[in-house]
Amino acid sequence: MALLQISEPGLSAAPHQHRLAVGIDLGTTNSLVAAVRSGVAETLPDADGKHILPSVVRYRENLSPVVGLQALEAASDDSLNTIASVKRLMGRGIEDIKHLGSRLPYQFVEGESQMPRIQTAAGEVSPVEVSAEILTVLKGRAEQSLGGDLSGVVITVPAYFDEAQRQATKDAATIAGLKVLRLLNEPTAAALAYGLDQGAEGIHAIYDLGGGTFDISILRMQKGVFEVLSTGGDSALGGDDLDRALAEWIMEQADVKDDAQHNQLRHVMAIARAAKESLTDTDVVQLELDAAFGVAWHGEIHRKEFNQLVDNLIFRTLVACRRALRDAGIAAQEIKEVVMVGGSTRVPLVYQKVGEFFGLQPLTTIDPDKVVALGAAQQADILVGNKSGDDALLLDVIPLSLGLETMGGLVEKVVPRNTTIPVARAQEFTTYKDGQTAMSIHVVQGERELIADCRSLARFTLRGIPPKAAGGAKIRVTYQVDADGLLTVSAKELTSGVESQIEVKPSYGLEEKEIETMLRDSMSYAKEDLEARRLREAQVEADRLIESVEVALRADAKLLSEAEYNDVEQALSTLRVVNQGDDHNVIQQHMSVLQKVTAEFAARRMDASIKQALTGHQVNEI
Amino acid sequence: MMALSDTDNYFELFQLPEQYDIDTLQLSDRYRELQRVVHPDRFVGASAQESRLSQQKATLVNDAYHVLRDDLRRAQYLLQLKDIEYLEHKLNDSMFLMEQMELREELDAVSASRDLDRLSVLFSRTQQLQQACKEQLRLHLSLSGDLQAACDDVFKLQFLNKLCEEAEQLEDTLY
Repeated sequence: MALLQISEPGLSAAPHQHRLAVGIDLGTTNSLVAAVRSGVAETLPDADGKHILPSVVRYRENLSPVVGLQALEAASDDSLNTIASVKRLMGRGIEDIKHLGSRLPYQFVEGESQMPRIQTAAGEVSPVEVSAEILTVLKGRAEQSLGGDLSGVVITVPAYFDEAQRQATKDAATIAGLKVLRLLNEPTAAALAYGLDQGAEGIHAIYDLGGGTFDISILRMQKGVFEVLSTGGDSALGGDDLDRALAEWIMEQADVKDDAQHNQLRHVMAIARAAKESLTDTDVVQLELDAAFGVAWHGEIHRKEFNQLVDNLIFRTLVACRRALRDAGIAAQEIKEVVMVGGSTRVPLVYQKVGEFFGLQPLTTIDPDKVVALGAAQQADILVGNKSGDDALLLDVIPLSLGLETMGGLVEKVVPRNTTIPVARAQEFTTYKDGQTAMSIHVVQGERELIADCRSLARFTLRGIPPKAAGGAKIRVTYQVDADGLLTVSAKELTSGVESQIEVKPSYGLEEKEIETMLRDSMSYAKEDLEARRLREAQVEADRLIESVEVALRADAKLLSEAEYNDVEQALSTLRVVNQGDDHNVIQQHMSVLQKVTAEFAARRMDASIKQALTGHQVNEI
Repeated sequence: MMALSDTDNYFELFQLPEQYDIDTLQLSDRYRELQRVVHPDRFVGASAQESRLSQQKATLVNDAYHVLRDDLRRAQYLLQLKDIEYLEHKLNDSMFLMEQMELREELDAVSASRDLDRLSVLFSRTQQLQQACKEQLRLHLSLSGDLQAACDDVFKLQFLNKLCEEAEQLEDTLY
């Protein structure tokens, strides 16, 4: 076990302060927070010693909401005000939710924005706000356990989450007052937890059957670099569906009608879930419906019957596995290990079928409920800079293809799914009418060929195209996805140079203004003056810039002429001085000055390090 | 699909000889070495400027790797470097085109009959043709090669890859 380091009072042990960062698994059913302490990743318990926080929020009139186990216990009695599985609603519009089925026991109201709101005793709440409540509890727990403010968090999302769902997750974090270092795909987090622990090399498959989503990822781990080769899955298939299959069977047996009361449906779901869990260890389970919820009924179910009910659902996951293998260009035999993630992988039939498919015994040595949070904590620790430069690097992909609408409601893919990010791709289009001077660009995400089957992300218009005959103008559309998976689309008419661009913000996201209002309303910032907050943020940013330039000068001053060196030094010392002042505008101003004089320096350093990387390589080869 | 940066030579970036034959192990090793240095995750605490620079370089390295590791894309890129307009190229090979039509008819037939065995026969036939095409490319792109013939090969390989893609999509619907 690693020993704790203790420094002398007033002396810091490390060259820079150890920053507090955590990983959060914001799950459909349960959530967890984990941190790396003394080099070991571990999940953090609450005051009662419980690590798992049920992802359930209960709203009450004139009282603050209750989150977790207490809320879960009230779910049957107060089902309208108790929101569970909110992750399924994240980034979804009213239409999507109708698709998810009328079985959701909440009252939805349509607001001004596209985002659905749920009517509760405490007023209307959006899914993003419900998630923010869960995050706030985990944040409080982490700050309590670690004894300080968090520098940042890594939050995990299903690999199959689309742009809108990711943005909604980020918005929830913002409302909870958390700085998101990175949204990390859940399977990748699990792979990190296994890989970093055991230094595993080779190609791994991560099979993640969570409460509400299924993900499969194929990763290559080599020399400390984790390369995601492909991801796939189904964002509307999970353990809940296994429960529902069993619940429907029970309702049929017990003659409970589809239009039964919400609390009765909740009761049947709870019985079904408990039975599913028991069937992991036993062959037959007794089922008992309580008369208090409507119908009294007694029955039993054998594992064999249960297997028949869920066989088709599990088969659907294997189809996704096949597709992921093909996208990765990998044969099933090349997979060295299969890692199981998510509570639903405890179902024996899942374990058996996955084992058969890959021809391997799946790995379950790390608790499948905790493995995602542990991996996220490790990534957070790396990103916040608590580890040296030799640590693991993660090369991730976009999970869904990005494209645009062309004539006739068809989709042209610009960046195909499973492309490694960051990436930029361009494609050329032309006008279809004589004298056309504007072109509307509709950005979509998805694999299908028809626009109607894909998710609409954004629309914008390129104007001022010089009028020509149809097909005469040349418009180059460029899609750029950064390392966070954030998309920017730009369009340029090549003969005239007219251009336009948009940072894509999904249609079902919150408006900037809405977030600001929620921030103001939320407890965490109520007492804080906005100006003071801006100043503090500017100072932190300036400190970071100063530190990075100092490091650069120490390492690579030789890349600068004497005059250049003096310019940098001067800008640096000026910024140091103004950073002591209390005007955030002045600080910002001098930060830009310093960045300007170091622009060329930064570029030279980057090129030098690229040469260095390959030179070192060739020396090793000889 | 075109590369964004026209100024950087991908082979130079990876310090590999500018030719069709490529050592794939060396290529993927160097890809990882380069990303280790330039990836934005290495610059999380850095200034906005350094982050932007790292974003650009990491994008370039990804683009280059995407092109170099794929036989067809690498061949197209080599032709592009030699200023050969392979996009405008017309194929004059009626034998090949007849064969393509026949293969497409077979794909439609498989789609109608939902016959997986027949699909796998189609797959292996297509793969053989792809392999033969790549052998020709190697020959025609070598030093003493015939670049116009290489354009023919690129044209054919595009056809075959597209067919293969459609066969894969069909396979998805059959499961």
